Amino acid sequence: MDDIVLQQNEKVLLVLRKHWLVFVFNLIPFVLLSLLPIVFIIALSNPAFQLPSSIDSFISFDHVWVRFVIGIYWLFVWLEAFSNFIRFYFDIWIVTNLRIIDVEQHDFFDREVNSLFINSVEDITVEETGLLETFFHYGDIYIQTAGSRERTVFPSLPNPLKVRNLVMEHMRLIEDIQPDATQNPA
Amino acid sequence: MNSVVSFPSFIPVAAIISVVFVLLFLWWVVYTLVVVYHWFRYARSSWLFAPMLAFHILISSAIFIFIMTSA
Repeated sequence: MDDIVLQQNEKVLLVLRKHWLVFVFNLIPFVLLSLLPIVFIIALSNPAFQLPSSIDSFISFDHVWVRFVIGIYWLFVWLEAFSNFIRFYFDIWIVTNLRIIDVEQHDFFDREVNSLFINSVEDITVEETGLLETFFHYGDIYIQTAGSRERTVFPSLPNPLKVRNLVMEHMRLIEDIQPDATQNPA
Repeated sequence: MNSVVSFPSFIPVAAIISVVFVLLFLWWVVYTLVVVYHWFRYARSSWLFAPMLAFHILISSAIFIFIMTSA
């Protein structure tokens, strides 16, 4: 969030990332992929397979080419898992007293920053669906803004109800400070 | 008796492994520099930067050592 420039009198209230459980779920495929060569070699070294002796000599971590290929494979898996962490960590949602800033890190050199001004928010919907989301208190927040047909979605945020209440509270504060000009014509 | 798979003598196996290894390492260095660049640009105040970079180098080193011991 070091690249986000705040306006005058703007204060950061919350900095949120997706729930840690989402990151753990994203890691599972990488763990399975990294275990795959070990399982493969253990399974094929089982005498029940009765492989030809020329192939059998390959099926071992002691073999030069096996170590070489598996090492390269593990390096790719590790770098993709680490990139996944970077995407998770840099994907943030900043709530300030004036706006909500949504930073989406799609990939390296692919970043999107959107701002929603709190005074343009019309409706906030929170969805916690399923056992895990209910138990671990995370869910999606949908925000409808004035002049926009589609709702903005912030997925898998921790404590979405608390976030909703905080935004609503600041919506009310802004309304108190800047009453709508159309409702109070001069 | 196990017959060991071997490559024809005209294929310089050690040289191939060395070249691939160097290319792989250069690619890893570029990747790590890109990570550092992103972290410095967007999250330099984060305390997690140094531990995560150390962890990345540790895991990568372990994998590189695993590959190197094959040669």
